[in-house]
Amino acid sequence: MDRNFTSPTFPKSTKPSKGRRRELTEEENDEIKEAFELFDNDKDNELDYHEFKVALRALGFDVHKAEVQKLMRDYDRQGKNKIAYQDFHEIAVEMILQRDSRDEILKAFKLFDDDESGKISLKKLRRVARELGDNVNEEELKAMIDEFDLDGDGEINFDEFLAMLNSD
Amino acid sequence: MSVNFNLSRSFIASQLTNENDDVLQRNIILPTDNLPSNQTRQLVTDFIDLNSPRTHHIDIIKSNNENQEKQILSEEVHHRLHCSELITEKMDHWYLVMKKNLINEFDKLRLQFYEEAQRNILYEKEIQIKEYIHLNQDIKNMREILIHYEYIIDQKNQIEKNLDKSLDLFQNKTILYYHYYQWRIFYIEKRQQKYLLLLAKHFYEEKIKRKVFINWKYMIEREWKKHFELICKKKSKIILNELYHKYEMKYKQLELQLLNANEEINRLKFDKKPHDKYLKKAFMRGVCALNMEAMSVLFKDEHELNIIINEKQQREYCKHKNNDNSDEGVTLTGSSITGDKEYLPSTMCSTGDGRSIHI
Repeated sequence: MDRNFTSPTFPKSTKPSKGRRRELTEEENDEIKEAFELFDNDKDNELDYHEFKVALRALGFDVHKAEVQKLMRDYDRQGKNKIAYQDFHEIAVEMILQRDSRDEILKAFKLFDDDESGKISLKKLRRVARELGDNVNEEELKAMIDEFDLDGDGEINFDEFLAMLNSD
Repeated sequence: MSVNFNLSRSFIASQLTNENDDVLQRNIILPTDNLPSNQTRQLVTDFIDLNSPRTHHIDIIKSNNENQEKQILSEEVHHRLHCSELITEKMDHWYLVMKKNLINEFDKLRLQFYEEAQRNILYEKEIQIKEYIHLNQDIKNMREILIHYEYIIDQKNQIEKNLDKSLDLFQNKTILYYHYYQWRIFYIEKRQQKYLLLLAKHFYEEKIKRKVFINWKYMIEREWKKHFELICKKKSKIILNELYHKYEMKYKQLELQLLNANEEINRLKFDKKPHDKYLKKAFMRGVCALNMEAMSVLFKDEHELNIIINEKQQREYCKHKNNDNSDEGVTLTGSSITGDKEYLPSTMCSTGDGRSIHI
């Protein structure tokens, strides 16, 4: 199936995004919506302090207590100490656009490279595939690595990883 | 009893005083006035009648006064001494008797009084003793009751103390539980939140992992797909070619067969011609005969002339036709309708010439 793989989380350029030049993609909107709905525990269409913190974490933003409190104070209109979907959306959009793409890529790389050797081996790739429940055969995995293994060491380091993601 | 005694005593005392006064009066009077003997006799009788009821005494006193006036100066002076001695004797006697009687009376009364007193004392004593016993009993009972009550009170106190203690303990326990569970709740909530954050982190990580992996995989797969597509295309081409050749061959074969078949048909047709003639004739003969028979059966008694005429016409027609159309098919014609009868389509010919029929 044909998917749109210009995922803005891993944009083509590794330069940080220039302000608010771009809008959110459908995918990102869906992500925000999903995070909101998933973590609104009492289903009142509003997030209280804890839910809010958790939802932000689900979008990958590790925010401190003080920041969360500040945000809540800024956006809490009715004084109920809760955040409605609109406000959450705004905040999330703000934060997503400020995402450093390189940082995100680094995060993802680190997830693949769990023993922090700086390279992704076949073993690690296989592990990730298994974790995701994907029944990939060995050939494919090997091909995946070989395709982008530019220096030929049989493993993918960060630059190769970056190149791979930027290649489409 | 004592009242009576008092009354009788006073009565006796009063009597005595009266008598004393009288005696004194008389004594005074007697020495001066030289009382007569009657007077003294009356005095004696008076003294003797002391014990009689008082009313009589009053009357006697009254009568006494009357007699005194009558016999003052009588001859009783010489009797005076004798009488006086008698009187004194009698008086002494009487006094003694009186005394005795009085003493007796007193004794009696005293005895009576004493007895009564004793009886009373005894009675009172008895009562007292009874009361005493009763009271002692009461005291005993009360003491017992007291002891019993004290015991009960002690028990109650004990129970109170125990209850107090246990309630205190219970209260402390519940307070402790309250604090403990509050703490636990708080702690568990904290843990929950931590876990929730962890879940969110995992959620995000999984999301980006999946994205990356799928992208990566797809890139590889794309190449493979292209490659695979090429191969497939090639293969399909080859197969197409093969099929094409196959069907071409078949086509040619079939064409050949067709040609052959056509030739065969033509040949057979040509061969058939001479036979056709004879076939036609024979067939027509048969059909005519049949028609004739049928006609004769069905329209036996009617229009015999017409039949005959028609038959003649038919024969001529048949001949004509026969001569003209030997090869071509002759269509059946409807018979002429004479009158209001229908005749069977005339296909017959009495001559029996064969005739081909094409229906």
